[in-house]
Amino acid sequence: MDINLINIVKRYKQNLVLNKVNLTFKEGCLNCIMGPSGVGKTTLINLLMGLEQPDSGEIQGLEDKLIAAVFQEDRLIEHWDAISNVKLVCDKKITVNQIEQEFAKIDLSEYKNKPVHTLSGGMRRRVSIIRAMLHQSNLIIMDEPFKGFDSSLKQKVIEYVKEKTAGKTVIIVTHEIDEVRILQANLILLN
Amino acid sequence: MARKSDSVAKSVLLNRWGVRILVICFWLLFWEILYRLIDNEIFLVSPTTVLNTLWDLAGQIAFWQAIAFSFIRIVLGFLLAMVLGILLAILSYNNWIVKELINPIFKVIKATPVASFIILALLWTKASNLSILIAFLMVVPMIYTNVLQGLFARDQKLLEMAKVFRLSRWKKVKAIYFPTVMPYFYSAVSVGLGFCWKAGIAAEVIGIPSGSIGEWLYESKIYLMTNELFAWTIVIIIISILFENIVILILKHLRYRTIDSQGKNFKEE
Repeated sequence: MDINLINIVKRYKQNLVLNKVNLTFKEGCLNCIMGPSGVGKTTLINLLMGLEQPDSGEIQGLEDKLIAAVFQEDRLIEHWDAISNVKLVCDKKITVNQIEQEFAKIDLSEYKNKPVHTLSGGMRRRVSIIRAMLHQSNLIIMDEPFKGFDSSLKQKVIEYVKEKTAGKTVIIVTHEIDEVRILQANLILLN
Repeated sequence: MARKSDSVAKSVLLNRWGVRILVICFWLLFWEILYRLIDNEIFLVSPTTVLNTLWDLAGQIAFWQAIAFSFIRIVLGFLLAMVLGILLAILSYNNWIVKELINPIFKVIKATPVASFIILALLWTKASNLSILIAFLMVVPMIYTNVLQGLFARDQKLLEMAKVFRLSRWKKVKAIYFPTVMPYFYSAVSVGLGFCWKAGIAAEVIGIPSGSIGEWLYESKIYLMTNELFAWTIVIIIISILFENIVILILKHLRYRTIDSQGKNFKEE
């Protein structure tokens, strides 16, 4: 089922962040949201994740969605190692061995048993991406997931994300038009 | 290189223990000098007299029975306080009305002098149960306040993550709540442990339950047996320290299972 946002209005006190936003995210498609800072991109995905409620308007098509997310601030369990962070959100059927294979795909094997608070920003981001990829879901929401990667690593991680999200609805907030191009995603501009 | 650093560590440890033993010797010597200066066994007895008294007491069954009597009751009060303190904190965290309802009671308990409680408790309960009630009353507000503080210190962003990924309640407790609450709980337990012993024994001295440490202390005072008073005080200090160390060891193990293991224990489940 497609996700439809109908006349969504969201304000924080007097600050109107989203004003009668109408959008459709096609089921099984990759969608990128772009727009200047402060335009309400993060608010929009918070509404989709159910972390905030719109002041008015309606979101349709979320009823059957199982959501996985990559948050802007990673939101990992800091004192736990990288694998345990991923295992936390996984189905029981997914083994540690399978998770380790995912770590190898984006050059994280060396850091899999390290507590995440000792990892660099880029490594934490990759742990957060693997966590979202391995969670049983059909809607994946990602807030600037490739921020801070060098170009070759970015290419590798984007390919990994494309492979893992095939057939799922994906919504990515980004500032980089290059990422939209490599992902071959639908572009949604928020003004 | 490793062998060298090992030997350095060993010598530092030996030095530290050496200093500690010297410090103990210094204070024992100071005590002995003071005893000789005062020269009155009613006011102050010598360390050797106390040791001899302890040795004599240890040979009596009544001595061990008194220790068991007081230990069981004070520990029971402490454990009950721990369970109820945690339960009430969880209830208050989940329901603000419960929190508002409970807060004034604990404020009153905290502000009330221990002696008032002991005298009041004597009206409510048998003297033999007095130390259970007093240890409980002294510790429960500490556990409640600290655990509640820990629960409110949880990371809201991690709870949002848990909501999005639909983590089970147990996973949320283990990954998010436990690590936040444990340091608060740990500090409440360490403070509460010392406090429950002091308050529990004080209650026994006032209530004089038959066969308790408090009764022995009271009789030492009445019959001016300063040597027994000192010996029992040392016994109380030793039991209190031993109990504190055992509980802290258990808590450290719990802490490892929940925080320091870096999630390894979770992975093994």
